[in-house]
Amino acid sequence: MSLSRKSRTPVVDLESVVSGVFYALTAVLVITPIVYLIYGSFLTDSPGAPSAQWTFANWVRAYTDSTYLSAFFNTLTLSTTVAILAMIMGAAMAWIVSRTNAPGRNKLAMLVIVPLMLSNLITAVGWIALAAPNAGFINAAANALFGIRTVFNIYSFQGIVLVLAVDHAAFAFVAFYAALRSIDGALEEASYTLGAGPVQTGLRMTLPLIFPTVAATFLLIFVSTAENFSVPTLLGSGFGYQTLPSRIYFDMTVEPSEPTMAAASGMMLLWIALAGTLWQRRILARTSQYVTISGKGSRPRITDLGPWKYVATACLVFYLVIGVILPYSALLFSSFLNFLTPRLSWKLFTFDNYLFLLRRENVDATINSLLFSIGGGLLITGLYVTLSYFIKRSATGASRLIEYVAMIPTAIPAVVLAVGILWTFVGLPLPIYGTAAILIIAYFIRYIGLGVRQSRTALAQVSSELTEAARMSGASPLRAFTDVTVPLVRPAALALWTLLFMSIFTEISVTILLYSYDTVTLPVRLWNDMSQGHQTRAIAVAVLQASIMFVIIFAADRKFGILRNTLDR
Amino acid sequence: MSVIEVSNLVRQYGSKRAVDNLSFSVQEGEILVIVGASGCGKTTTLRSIAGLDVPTSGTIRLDGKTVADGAVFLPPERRGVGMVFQSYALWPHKTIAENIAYSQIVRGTPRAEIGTAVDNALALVGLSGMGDRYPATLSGGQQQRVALARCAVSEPRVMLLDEPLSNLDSKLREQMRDELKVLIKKMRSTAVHITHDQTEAMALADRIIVMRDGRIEQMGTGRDLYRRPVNRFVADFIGVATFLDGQVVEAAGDKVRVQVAPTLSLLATPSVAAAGDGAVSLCIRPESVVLSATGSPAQNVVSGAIVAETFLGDHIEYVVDVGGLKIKARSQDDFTLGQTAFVLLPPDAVISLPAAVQCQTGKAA
Repeated sequence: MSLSRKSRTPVVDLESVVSGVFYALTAVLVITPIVYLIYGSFLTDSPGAPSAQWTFANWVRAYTDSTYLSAFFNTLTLSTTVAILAMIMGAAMAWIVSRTNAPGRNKLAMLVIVPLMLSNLITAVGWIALAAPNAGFINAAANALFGIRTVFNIYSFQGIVLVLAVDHAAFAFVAFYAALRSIDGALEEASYTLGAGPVQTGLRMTLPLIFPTVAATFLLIFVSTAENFSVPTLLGSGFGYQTLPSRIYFDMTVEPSEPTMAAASGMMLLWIALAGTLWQRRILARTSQYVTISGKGSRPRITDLGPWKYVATACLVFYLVIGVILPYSALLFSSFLNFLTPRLSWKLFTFDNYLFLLRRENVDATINSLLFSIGGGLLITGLYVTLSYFIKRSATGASRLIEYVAMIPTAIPAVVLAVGILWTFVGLPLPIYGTAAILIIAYFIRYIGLGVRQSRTALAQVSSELTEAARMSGASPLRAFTDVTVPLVRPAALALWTLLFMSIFTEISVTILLYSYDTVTLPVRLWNDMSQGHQTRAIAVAVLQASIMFVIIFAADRKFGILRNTLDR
Repeated sequence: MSVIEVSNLVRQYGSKRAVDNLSFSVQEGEILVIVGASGCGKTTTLRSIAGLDVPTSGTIRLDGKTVADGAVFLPPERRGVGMVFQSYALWPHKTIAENIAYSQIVRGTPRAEIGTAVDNALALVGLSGMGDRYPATLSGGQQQRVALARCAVSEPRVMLLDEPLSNLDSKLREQMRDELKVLIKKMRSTAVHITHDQTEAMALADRIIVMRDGRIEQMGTGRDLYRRPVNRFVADFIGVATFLDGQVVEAAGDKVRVQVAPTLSLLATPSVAAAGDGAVSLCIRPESVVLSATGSPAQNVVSGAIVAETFLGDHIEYVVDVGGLKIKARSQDDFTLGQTAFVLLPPDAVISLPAAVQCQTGKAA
């Protein structure tokens, strides 16, 4: 009898030991890079360098030097413009899908969210093929047909806005779609019965009701744009346009590099994210009093658009054309060209770009990318789910603290995070810097907020009564775990794995500062080919990446309806 | 013999004692219902018997075998106890048949026998032919039956039921309550059922425990608790009653005379807890009150005005104002509002309870 006592005690202890180790590792991994970042911003040289001394000069320069101030200003204006435009597009599409009788709206809705899962770097490369001055297809066609040299130049502020706004419109669409769908139709009907017309109802009822969604969406798009490194750098550096992430990249990589300046200006980016988070908190605190957006309710009103319904459908189709079809067709087409040129001729067509993909560096990059995103993604999924499992199991102060810690990297721009991670591991005696491990660790840190949130939702479905019921049926703790917990968590874990696969497979912002010769990934190949002027080679890499992405999205949709789930989350 | 024996059970959460030195036993084939408000410790008690919660101290014996005390703790899977959960806890990824078969599979029962056992269990709860469906496709009542079948299939000596009826609507709840009782009796199981619904407790129980703040307030049959409550908490919790505060002025045989107003005294029966002197609280059930239109004041007959009525079909509930005291009465006769009525309060039905300091007076309205 005392045997059972003995067998029980170590199990309890083992769990608290394992969870303690998990918590400690997570906290160290997340917090150390941030500490290094702050520390480094007060030094004259990288932490650990023999000549490094304390200084305030970086901070002073970041807030006085016109280079940094204009980068800061550019970041603000770009993010604001992108957020507003993306929201207008997303809201219009969400309204069409959820509140009108536009034909085919439900099928198109599933396609409208595809840009969410694609890489905006690849889309930007597609747009270079479309709208590079003179040579882009659109400009070449305009020149041939109307004699206009360049109708639209992608290497411009408008170009950057176009790529990012179209990309984020899909995100805004999902947010507004969810909000519009969940407003109780009776609330609006009540407004109609009191004599308010559709416009008045829209402005006075619907808009205030979805205001929290508006604010949250604005903030998320704003921050996502503000931390976007690849698109503004790729399209902007040619005409001297810099945002903070591109400036940080510049400081880190262009000789003479100024890494501690990158840290100090990276902190500027952090203020933006921080201010946004506080602002959102205030709004949520104010609006949480009217919780009308609940799950149930009567069906929302459908507006009959009459003949305009075809125009509404056309809007959705137009978005797909701009967001996916045009840039990706241009990619595919130009991947068979020797170089981008306004004068197309048969002589230009070639398979060289694809033959180039068979070269060792590209094969290695493909293997690395697949290995990191599939294997690394699985490992990271497992870590997130385990971490969330421990957080859910115990309601201790440590669990709550770790939940907060897990949310920190979400607020830190990826490029800035990469600087912190770099400094953390470069000085470590362990041989991690320059290996695949540092990238996997970086991905773990970068996506921890998303991962913990998602796996918590997954675990929430596994109430403790379900595992207890298994115990009452005679199952041991281990058997209850494998028979009940694992199968119930599996679908959500698979979805998280897919999400991480797609994120890691296209990750450039932290990879670009942390990769080494042995750990080059496809996005890095693409980036380097573009920087060295091998545009069509880069395009072939982009096509390879995009093809893999489309296959995965298609497979994931067939297997567990990833598109439908994203829409109906 | 007692199948379940709980002695001096204590469960401490930080500084709070959820269960405070609880002792009781359950006889073979008996249905014990533990009733109390949420947070009274009834769920913790049930989970301790199940092995899902580790007691701070105390002993639990099942069939004479110690399953939990300071030195021994038998995990739930080795106690041979069945449980029905409040949320039903049906596994959404398994079919109804797989849900029911699980305990048999875990125990390594031969496949053929499992099939028969599952069919029997499904027939027992009237769900034959539904085995291939998934829990999500079933109604609340059907899910409830599956949960019962899953528990019943392994024919446990002890069945623990954690508010299994609380998620059903009232009509279905009554129906399931009756079915549940028949089922448990048919299986000859010993059952502990917890609920916050006193009607459910009375309908199901052979014996009831009323719990508050981790302690037993009273233990007994439904009749005992209803007719002979030991204190005002139990009287108030089980059924409806009028409470009148007063002072014992004299003992008269097995009755006491209680002054409830300057000009009004009533003969009352002291409760088992012997509220025979000092400040007391009188408990009067509305159905024991006799209303009549004519009469004359006599011992335990008072007159008052009808101040409220609620027509409920088979009877009418009235509130009679007797010199400021509001007395609830139940009658099948018609009275009009404002009419003077004579109220007979039979001394056997007026229970004198120890005055509860913490309860407010004049709760009758």
